Amino acid sequence: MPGVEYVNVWKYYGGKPVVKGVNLRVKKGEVRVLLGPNGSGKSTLFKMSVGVVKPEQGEVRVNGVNAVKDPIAARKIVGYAPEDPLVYESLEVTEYLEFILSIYGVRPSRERFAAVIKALGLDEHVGKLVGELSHGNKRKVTLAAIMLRDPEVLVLDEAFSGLDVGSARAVKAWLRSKAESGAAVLVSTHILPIAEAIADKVTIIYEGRIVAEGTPGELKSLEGGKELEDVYLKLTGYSSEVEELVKALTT
Amino acid sequence: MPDSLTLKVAKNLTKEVTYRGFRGVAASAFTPVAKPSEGKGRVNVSIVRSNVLGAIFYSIVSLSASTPLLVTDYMKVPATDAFSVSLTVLVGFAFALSLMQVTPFTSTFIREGLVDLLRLLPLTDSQILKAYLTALILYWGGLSLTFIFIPFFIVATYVTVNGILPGTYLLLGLFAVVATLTFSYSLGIALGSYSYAVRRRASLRLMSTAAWLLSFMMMFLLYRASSIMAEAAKTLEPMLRTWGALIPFVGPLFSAANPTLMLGSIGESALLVMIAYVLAKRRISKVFLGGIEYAVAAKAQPVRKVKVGEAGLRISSLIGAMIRKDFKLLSREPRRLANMLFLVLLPVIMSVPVGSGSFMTKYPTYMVLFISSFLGAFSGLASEYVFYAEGAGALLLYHLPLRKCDVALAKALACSLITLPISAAVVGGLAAYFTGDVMLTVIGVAITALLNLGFSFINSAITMSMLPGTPSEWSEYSFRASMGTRFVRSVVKLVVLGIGVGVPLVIILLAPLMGASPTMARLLTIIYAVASFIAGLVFLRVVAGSKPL
Repeated sequence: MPGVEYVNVWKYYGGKPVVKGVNLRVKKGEVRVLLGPNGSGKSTLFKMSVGVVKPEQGEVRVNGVNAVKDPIAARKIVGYAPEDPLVYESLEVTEYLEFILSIYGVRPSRERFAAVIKALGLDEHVGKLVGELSHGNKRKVTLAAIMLRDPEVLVLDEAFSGLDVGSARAVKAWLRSKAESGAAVLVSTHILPIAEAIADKVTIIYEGRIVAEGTPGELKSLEGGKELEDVYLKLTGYSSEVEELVKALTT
Repeated sequence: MPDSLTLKVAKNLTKEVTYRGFRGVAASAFTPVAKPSEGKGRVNVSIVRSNVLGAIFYSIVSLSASTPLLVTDYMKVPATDAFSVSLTVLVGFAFALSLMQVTPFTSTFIREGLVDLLRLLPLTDSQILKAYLTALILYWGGLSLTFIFIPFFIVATYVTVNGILPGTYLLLGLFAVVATLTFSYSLGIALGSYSYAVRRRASLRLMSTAAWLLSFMMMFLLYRASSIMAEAAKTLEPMLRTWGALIPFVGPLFSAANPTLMLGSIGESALLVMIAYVLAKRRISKVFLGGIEYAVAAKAQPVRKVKVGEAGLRISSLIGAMIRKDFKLLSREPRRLANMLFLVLLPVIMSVPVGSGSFMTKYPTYMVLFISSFLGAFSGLASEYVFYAEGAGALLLYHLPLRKCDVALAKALACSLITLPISAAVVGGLAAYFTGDVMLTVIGVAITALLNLGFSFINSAITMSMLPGTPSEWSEYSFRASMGTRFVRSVVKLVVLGIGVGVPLVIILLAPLMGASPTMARLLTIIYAVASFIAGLVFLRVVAGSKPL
């Protein structure tokens, strides 16, 4: 049974399809990186994993649970972090974590709490209001809540956005270790070297359709062993015209 | 008139404050600017639009306040007293209103980093300041405030020209108006600029909540006073004749006959204006223009030291965690909390004169039953404010494993935990003091508790059922917008709540007419309270529903 499974998923906004028949299976123990330009449907797919967005057609399952029919069960299974951190700005960091963990009924040990906070470099910030933190630190707070919950499936949208080098490294290590312990991990990022470093498989989505899928090595071989960036740009409609336009702007 | 650049910046600034304010708490009934959802999410701002409704409303209040000046002969009140008392009420009104306009505007301006945004643009300090003040006065409804005084002074001038009112009073009145507006604007700017510190410091939060509550109560009392201005002039006149000189800004009107006292009174007012003005100026140069960014200022606030290695996390039950979180959110939004407490204190203000009058000694049972029912049901309606406290944080709730009925229950309980002790204490205190009947006191408190919980549940469940279909922020405005689109449910809500508050009145009025004994009235009210409580539980389950949020 896959950890995350999208079966022929379609989604329309205002009559326009934004997700077009996506089939995607992320196995347990696998880190899958979803790449795609802005507006390609990644976030919509991710939101479906916790039933916040419902597809017009198709099924979304997490650990076998239908996320459309039983979103509460799906939310208990998935550790989901949206692109923009969802936080209460008037709560202190510890108050926020206490709230989230209480909702999930998770009681982490003191040692685990300390380890997570230190790993993400939040030591100095735990007594602050979340609203006083930078974007990157807010993201760390939401990641800390997921780390403390230790869910079976991770779905992280723009997982590394705003993170400093040290925290990004800690998150990379965490994602790999989660996969090794049998969790299914689905992440999106625009940072291709990170994608290459952590992914067992990469899926490229463009205009709501999956246009390529495979290990980083397999994808690179599509363009005769070039960089992942070249493959990505070719598949997502980037043309040399754009480069010429940029050049024209600078002259 | 400000130049076109200032007007442009001010207009956009107001749009931004409106947009961001509706997500939070800046907007209110006293900021008559366009709502963000009008024109599909666009905020439309214009000088006319922002001031016209306020100008009409305030003109009516002003005209009503000027009536005593025209009927001094009939009322047998000296014109000087009528002028002074009416102007005192209007000045109080203007003071409360301008504080309620300026403080949230400034607070949003600072807290949302709009001042930092303006400072990134090629604008001088004086241009920023001009744009801020223009936005406040022209686009945020400040101009309309002057209409509290304009019709009144037109009437006063007419009376003066006809030799009924001495010209000195007109001059002293103008002094009172200018001093009041300068003071309240300066104070509002200074208070609003401390918004970042308010979230952090409990003492400031307490003071801020108390100040808001006082403003709301003052508005309510003044509104009542202005609607019965002729009677108010008669009632207040002897009190103001003795103590009036001490009241800032209008004091000189009450001491016009005594030049020494009048000079002292003018000096007191001038000193207060000076203090507020200097404070506002210092805050403007420090927070607006002085290079201290909001983020830096916020960081300078004391942070609770937490030693991570030693700290554990306090994990509670799902409902417990929701309630704790709501308490934290409410306690850090003084205006929101004051709004909620006002809804509890409003029926208290209305009940106390009834409860302490001769009715209480003549009909103790009926009065206790009525007050307990009224306070219980009314205070339960405050549960809506716990929803509003979510603001943008509500988006998070849609991603958590929560059922609608759980959220509705938590909101209702959070409301009752705040409002019930106050209502029960008032009912218990009034019943015990005026009747001395222990059993009646216990019954009164029990009825208050059952109705508070019942109506909290009902209101919370209906509010939950009216949430926007897609994940969205929760604020007064988003709820009002969804109520508009769900017209039938809105009507149901109003009818249910109307019945809830009206039924005890019917029982209490009909019981004596139908020859029912006080014991029967007690029994009927208890049955009604228990039924409301059970109905509340049913509403939670059926109307809020067990579907995921």
